[in-house]
Amino acid sequence: MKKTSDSLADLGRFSEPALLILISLADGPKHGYAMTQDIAMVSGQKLGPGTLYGAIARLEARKWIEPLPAEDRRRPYKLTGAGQRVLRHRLEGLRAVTRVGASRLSEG
Amino acid sequence: MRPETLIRLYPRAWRERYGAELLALLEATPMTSGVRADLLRGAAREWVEQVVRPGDTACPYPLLLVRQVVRLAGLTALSWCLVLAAWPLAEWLHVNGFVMPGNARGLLLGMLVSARGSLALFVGMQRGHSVWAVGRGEFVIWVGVAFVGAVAHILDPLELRQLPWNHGMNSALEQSDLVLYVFNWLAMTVLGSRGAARDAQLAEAWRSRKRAMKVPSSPLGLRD
Repeated sequence: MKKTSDSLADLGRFSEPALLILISLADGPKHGYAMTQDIAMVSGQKLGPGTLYGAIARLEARKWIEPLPAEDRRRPYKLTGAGQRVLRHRLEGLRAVTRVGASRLSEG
Repeated sequence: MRPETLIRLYPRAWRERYGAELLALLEATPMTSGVRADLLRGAAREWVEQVVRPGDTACPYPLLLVRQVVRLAGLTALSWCLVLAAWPLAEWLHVNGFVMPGNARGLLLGMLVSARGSLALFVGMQRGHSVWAVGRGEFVIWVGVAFVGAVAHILDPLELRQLPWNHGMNSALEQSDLVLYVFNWLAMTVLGSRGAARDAQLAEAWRSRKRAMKVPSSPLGLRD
């Protein structure tokens, strides 16, 4: 049986864009353009359209996000329960790393 | 290059699913050279993804056929590589007295390095491979194997068996050629049919996924 990945790191070069998308969808459904605007505002990063939809396709394949009915040609996506768990797990990991980094900086 | 043209570079199944949304996003995005490069990279990644991890994306049936052909070529090539590599070693071990009749250790050594032992090992590897590497990087592995095998096939007509360190093995190898061919083709048939069955499953999954897709008609068109 094919192993189903449950880690963002398994998305390879899409892991960072995927994390930003999950964060963007954490406060409600958004379509592609709204995601790029939100991600630019939150992180200062401008995701290219190809990168954005490459990450969306992979997140949808893993059922971490799901499409909602299209509005005109724009299709909003929302975070699933599995997506919330993955995001929470990843953010906890980042928080631990940040804490260690900050404490080492203050020691030095 | 216009946005529609760039989106046409994506695989058809991907374009049918995401093309209209991507075009809507591009209409609201300034088309800089960076955006164009990002789309080109994205299209290349999706094509590679279809070949390397067909289980994760919609994989066109022609690509499954290519995978099947490469797998069969790889099977043949790898078995020949093992035969060519193992036989001189078996001869050397025999000549130097490591393989003694009636000696269980020697027999085991002989089995491990003999051509037929190598083929048995190869079959074992295949069975293991089907468990741990289903769908992940399989195509890349077989392309590599086919390349190595192609080199072996090129070397073989150059009388590789006539090289000084292979002296004395010719008659024995010729006698066993028929057995090796039969064994090789048997292994190919069994393992190839396993691969074909799996590819047929993937192809059906792809068709089902296509049928399930109810995306409004796209201004990009649906043809490659």
